[in-house]
Amino acid sequence: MKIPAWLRWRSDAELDDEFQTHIDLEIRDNLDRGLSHEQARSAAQRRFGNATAAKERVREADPLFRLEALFSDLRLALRSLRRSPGFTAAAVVTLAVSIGANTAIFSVVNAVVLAPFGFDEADRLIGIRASAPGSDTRGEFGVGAEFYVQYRENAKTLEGLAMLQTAQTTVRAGKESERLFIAAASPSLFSTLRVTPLIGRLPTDADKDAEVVVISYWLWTTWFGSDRSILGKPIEVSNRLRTVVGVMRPEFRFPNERTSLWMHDSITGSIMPGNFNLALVGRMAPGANHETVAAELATLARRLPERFGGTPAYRQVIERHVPVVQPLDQVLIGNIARPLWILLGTVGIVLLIACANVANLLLVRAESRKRDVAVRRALGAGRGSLIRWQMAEALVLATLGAAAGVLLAWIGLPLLVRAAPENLPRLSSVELDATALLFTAGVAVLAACLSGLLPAVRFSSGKILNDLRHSTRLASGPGHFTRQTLVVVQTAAALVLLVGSGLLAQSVRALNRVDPGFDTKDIFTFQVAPDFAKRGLTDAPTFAQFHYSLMDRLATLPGVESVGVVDMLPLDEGAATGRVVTRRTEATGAIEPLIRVTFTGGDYFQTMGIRLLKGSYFERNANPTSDVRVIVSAAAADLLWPGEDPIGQVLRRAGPNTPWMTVQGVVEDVMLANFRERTLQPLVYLPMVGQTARSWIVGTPAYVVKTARAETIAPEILAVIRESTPEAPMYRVFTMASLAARSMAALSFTMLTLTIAAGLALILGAVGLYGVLSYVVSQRKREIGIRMALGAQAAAVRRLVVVQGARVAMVGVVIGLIAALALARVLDSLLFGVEAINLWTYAGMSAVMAGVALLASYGPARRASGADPILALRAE
Amino acid sequence: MSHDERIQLLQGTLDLLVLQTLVFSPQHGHGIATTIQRITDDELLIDHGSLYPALQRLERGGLISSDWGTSDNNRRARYYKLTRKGRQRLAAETRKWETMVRVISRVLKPGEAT
Repeated sequence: MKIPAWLRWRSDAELDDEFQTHIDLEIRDNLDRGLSHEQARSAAQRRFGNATAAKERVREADPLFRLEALFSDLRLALRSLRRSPGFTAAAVVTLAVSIGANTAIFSVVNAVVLAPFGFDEADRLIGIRASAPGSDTRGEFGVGAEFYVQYRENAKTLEGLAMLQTAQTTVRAGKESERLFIAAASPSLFSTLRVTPLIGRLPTDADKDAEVVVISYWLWTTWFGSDRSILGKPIEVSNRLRTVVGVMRPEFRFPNERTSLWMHDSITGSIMPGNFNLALVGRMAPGANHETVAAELATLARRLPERFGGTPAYRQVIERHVPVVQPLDQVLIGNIARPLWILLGTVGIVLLIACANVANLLLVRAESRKRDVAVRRALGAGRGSLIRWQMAEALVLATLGAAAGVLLAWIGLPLLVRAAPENLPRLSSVELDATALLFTAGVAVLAACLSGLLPAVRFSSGKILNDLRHSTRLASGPGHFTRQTLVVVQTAAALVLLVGSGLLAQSVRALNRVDPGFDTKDIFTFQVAPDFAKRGLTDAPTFAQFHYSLMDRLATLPGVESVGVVDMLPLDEGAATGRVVTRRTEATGAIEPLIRVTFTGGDYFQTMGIRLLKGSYFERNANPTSDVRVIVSAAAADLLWPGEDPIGQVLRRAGPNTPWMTVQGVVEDVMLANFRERTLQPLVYLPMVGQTARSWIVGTPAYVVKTARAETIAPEILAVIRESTPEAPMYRVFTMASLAARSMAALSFTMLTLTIAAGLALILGAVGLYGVLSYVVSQRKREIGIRMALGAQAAAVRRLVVVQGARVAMVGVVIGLIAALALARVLDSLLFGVEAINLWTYAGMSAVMAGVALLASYGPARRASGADPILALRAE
Repeated sequence: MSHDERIQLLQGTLDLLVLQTLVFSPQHGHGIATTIQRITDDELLIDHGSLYPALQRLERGGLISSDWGTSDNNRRARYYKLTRKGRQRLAAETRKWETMVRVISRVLKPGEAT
């Protein structure tokens, strides 16, 4: 590309004209001085010098000329690359794969972690949770309504505060009926976040008893066809009619993408302190920061018992209470950010290895062009222009690589999204957008520099001339050390990835070996939400009858072994927490122990394969009874009656006047949230009906079905439900196996990606070593020929080459081990059942790396020993 | 005068000289060249053609501007003149140059007062 005339200082014609004028004026002066016409002309020409050269210099001095030169270099590079398609293909494919991986992972990181949530002055928004280190309530947990009231009325460091709960519930409107994720929030949520509705209005405090909702843009468009007359119309949420007053904007997806509507929630009646189930969202006052807010909230929380009372257990938690104040976006993103950053780092390492490979290829290429460089240099090409000339090739390669990489990312991104854990926030907004393309461009430039600069600098210095002058071929040319260094870098980086993927693979295996206390094979599970009013479902007995009759019907399906229900399913919803009283804690006045509570019926334990250790299972019962029997887990028995026989013991739920219940059985412990639980959760199972028809109600439990056809039985079960309760949506449809997979999705996803990256790194590293050794062998043909002519054994020659490869690989392995040791801690939070630093993984992966290096050396070694000495000598 | 005895132009020196020749009135390329040649007794400007890259640099930098004019003998020629920015630059560069000359000569000829 030439600089267009209008961008140039003077066109060629203008410059000619100006020069001619200059010379003519000089001729006139000379004539005035009395020279002859002929003399005057030639003197003027001499005086002016070489006009063509002057024109050239004007052109070159133009800053735009550099661009023009770059383009001409690029054109040259493209032409010369076309002449060596093998080299070009190898380099472009290497770069395309690594750049594509970077683009794809970055797209995910960008959408999930980096993209702003778009709230006004978002840096002042916070999420507030609670913790109580040293109490029996572990980890971080939500707050109670009393916190909300206390904070809202008194906190000076907060400008706005809202409470929020999320749930999945049945929503009906017209023909539509579905279980949707909803949020129940105080009206202050919208003012705190500073959001406005698309149409209609937001709930206000005046709506207290009016049962109003605002719906999401998604719900409005899919259910109501974007009809504006939806405002003021009723919609049934959780079996009650509520009025739609507003539609939110499409970008408002809070607290997650699946939230379909926001119900009005407010504090009514007296507060029972200690229900730690609310999330708080706050906006800090101007000038406040996370520390000052946390300090004020801590002080305010201390005074809660004097205002709201509470049990000794509650006071114990409050005494140790430490507020957890975090930036809101961090709360919304959750702990998925870390694995994603690890993945981005991983593909970054792959890029580094790929660049080292391409650099090596370019070095070999530059080596073969040494004479060309020297000639250019001798003809006066500056070092800068030589570097530019060689960098142009790297730039063309990187550009082609990036283009192919974007294509690969475009193909691979949907696959990546499908493999990603489904609870990844904002996963649906992952796309190959302008930011990702800009990032790719940056990566391409970086790749060009990483792979091109080293060879370009190396093969542009004056030393090249010297090398050429003493042109007996030396075994180690100028690029040899550089090439070896590159292979060391590759080996080291590949080993880091190998160790990482090894550690994660061991964790996955360890998690798969964990016995969670229940089976994960051949179990199908779902929930169903009948229209309560229509089915006459009002109290515990009616619900129990409904569940029993559905269970009976399911049990008749072919291949079904047993059916049961549970209020909250392990690995899905876990179990509720509660406090219980035993005779002993009542007598001593000790703090009521914190346990988990769930409700069950039918053949739940048999279906899940939860073993009975003592006593008996529940009998079928749908009627209230004064003698309520419960089943406890082994850990609960140990906690509540240490050293005693739990059968026949009594316990009751904390609270005034709750009746005693008798333990009739002990079952083995189960893991509730995931397979990483190290402490066993004490769990108490209650039957479906209590002392009265309203002691508790098991409304929409999870059904569990034991069948060898767990993967395919869903349509048959849906048919049964359609027949008996056509209005009831079926939801939370899983197999236990898929729930188990989901519980380690973040880990398996990271492991899968890291393993692919490590495999790639291993191949690239091996190719790099192979390339260098092949080159060394070709350079040492003469020496090898002489050796063999003098009687060296083929085996000895092979050993020579392999040893050289092994030496380079060993240095890489040592450096890689050091780097892996330093980086292993990054994986800590993902690891399970394996130490971040352990001999076996490191030794094993080093052995793999060394083995691959030896394999890669063997090919060139064979070629060396197979060379005909005469031919080798003649080749010089 | 042989090639080697001419003073190698220091980077930017030619620019400074060009600016200086334009202080009093606009000039065309030939005028600038002959002025520099006259003042420096042929020691600096090797050939007139090498003036033009400097003119381009200065005009691109906004230190001089050019326009068509008519020479003494009625020839249309491009005339260069100092811009305000050029004048400021010239003043600044001159001061810097003088300081440098003073300092360097003090080092090279310690005895003489400057």
